[in-house]
Amino acid sequence: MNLIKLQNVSKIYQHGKLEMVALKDITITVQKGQFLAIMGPSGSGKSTLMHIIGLLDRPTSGSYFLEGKEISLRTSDKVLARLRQEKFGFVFQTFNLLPRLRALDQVILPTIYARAKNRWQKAEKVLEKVGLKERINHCPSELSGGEQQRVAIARALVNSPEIILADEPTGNLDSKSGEEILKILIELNKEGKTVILVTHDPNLANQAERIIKLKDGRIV
Amino acid sequence: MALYSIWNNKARSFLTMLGVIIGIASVATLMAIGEGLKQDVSKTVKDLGSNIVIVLSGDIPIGEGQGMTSMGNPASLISGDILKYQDVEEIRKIEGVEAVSPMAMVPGSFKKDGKVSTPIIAGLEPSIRKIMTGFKLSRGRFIEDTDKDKNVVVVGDKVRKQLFDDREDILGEKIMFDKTEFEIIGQLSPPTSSSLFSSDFETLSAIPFQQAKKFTQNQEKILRIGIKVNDSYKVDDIVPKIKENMLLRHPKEDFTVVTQEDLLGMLNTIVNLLTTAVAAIASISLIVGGIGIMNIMLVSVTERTREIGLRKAVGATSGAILWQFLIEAVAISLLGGTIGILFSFLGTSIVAAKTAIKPEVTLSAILLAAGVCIGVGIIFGLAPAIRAARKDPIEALRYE
Ligand SMILES: Nc1ncnc2c1ncn2[C@@H]1O[C@H](COP(=O)(O)OP(=O)(O)OP(=O)(O)O)[C@@H](O)[C@H]1O
Ligand SMILES: [Mg+2]
Repeated sequence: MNLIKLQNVSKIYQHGKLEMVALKDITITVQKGQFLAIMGPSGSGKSTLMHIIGLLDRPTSGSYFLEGKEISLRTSDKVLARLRQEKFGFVFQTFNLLPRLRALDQVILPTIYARAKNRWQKAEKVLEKVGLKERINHCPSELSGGEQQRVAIARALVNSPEIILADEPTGNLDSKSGEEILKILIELNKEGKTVILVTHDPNLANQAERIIKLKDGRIV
Repeated sequence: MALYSIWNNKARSFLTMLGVIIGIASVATLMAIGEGLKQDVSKTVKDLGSNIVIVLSGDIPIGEGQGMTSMGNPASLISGDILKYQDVEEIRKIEGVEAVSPMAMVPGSFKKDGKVSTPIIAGLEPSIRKIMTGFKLSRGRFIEDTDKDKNVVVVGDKVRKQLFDDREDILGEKIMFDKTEFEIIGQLSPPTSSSLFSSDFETLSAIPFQQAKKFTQNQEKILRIGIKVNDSYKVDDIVPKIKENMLLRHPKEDFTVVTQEDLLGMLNTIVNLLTTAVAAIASISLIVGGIGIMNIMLVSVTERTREIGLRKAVGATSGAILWQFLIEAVAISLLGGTIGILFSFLGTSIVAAKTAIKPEVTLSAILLAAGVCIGVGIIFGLAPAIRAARKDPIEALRYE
């Protein structure tokens, strides 16, 4: 069964009379355990696509199936929030860590919303996994960019989601840190997680098993 | 989590809380003072002893609060010609009346070796001690029936201090009133606890009623008639009889008969009224505080747009975001209230040190304050919290 299936998905932003087409008739399927890279020039709709896949945004038209179940406009905020907790882990280009919160608390955050048990142990475990065991009490301002992004990955992992959505996770990092991040993503993929990675870097994209190229909101 | 962001913006949070702090501090302090006053009032009324009825001159609507404790009130001096000694004698004859005493006021001062003391000089009869049980003697004796025509005086502690400095025992000393020499036959104990009203006992000096008359151009100047009803009778049964009796000589009803309960009720009504008025004023401060909280929360929601987006991305429902911001608003409000309560402790201890009132910050006042703070937090935090909850996660995440 397809893990994710998008059918003729379009996203149109309305600016008064002006229509801005961010995505046009996107149809893709993602299998469980796949490592998918999405490439394309700036403004081609990569982030928009990621947000729709990650249930942060809803398409203007088209349909979305997650594990065979349709996600429609009628799906409630509660259900969407729960699916985001259980199925998806987000990693952003700008890390999006909360300032002044130590690494451990950053990672615990999603477990609070998921009402998970053993929050502490889970958070410590994933932080150890991304190699930050020694840094769990540090605030973002005391961490390097690469370390911050690893905290963000740990945060994405803590609820054991099936899908990791990484939107240019290396965009703000030097190549060495970027490679470390990619190594972690590849490792996760080997453990069975589905990884969708947006990147500008062909070298990184080439390590994925499948590449989708976007241009002006269409797959090329 | 909520306290976290309050702590991170200490200065701003404090300014935000100021309205709540002031509101709660003033309400709590004034409630405490009100509570202290009430205790004081009931203590004073209890000083009267039990089964007491007082006839006041003037038709005072009950509730206006003319306690016998305001004996020195110049306004009542004016109306000092209404009650007559004959009234005292007639009331004495009523069945069930155990003791009656006129209470007359004599304006003037005592002098001794060039020193002057101006106490409240009351013309009383010996039976007053059955009525005002608060009279306690530290030395000597009280006025007795045989003193009727003697120039004797029982002095309060103030007179002793003002005329004799540190001397404790002043029995037998002579002091001058006008051109008459008075002998001190007794000294009143200073009030055991410095109550606002019982300080009367400190400034009071008692002389025989018959002597008092001589200094008021033979007018009786009776302001009050104190009556003790025998304990085997019900006060409520005797009051109508006293009234009836009085009406025989005062057809215009230019007097008022009050019981101890009336006094207590009257005084409590005043205190309650004051407390309520003050609470109303203070609640304006709370509304200002609430608006401050709302304002700061709206700013906070905008500032933390990214955080809201991120929280939603990691699985927060709109409801969870709503709660977060609501709790934050309540926390700010409660913290402000707590600081306010602390200030009220400070305020009441100042009041306690500077005045005779013993204010008391009661548990119920603290709980009320907490309730009010939670209410303010919820009411004024709701709009910002709803705004936060409604934020589209994408808009929020793209927000720079
Ligand atoms: N809220 C919005 N309102 C209007 N237009 C928007 C909005 N969000 C995105 N767009 C537009 O949609 C298009 C796709 O944006 P998107 O962020 O998906 O591109 P991207 O491929 O991720 O670009 P980048 O590589 O710079 O991150 C862009 O032209 C952008 O301007
Ligand atoms: Mg993008």
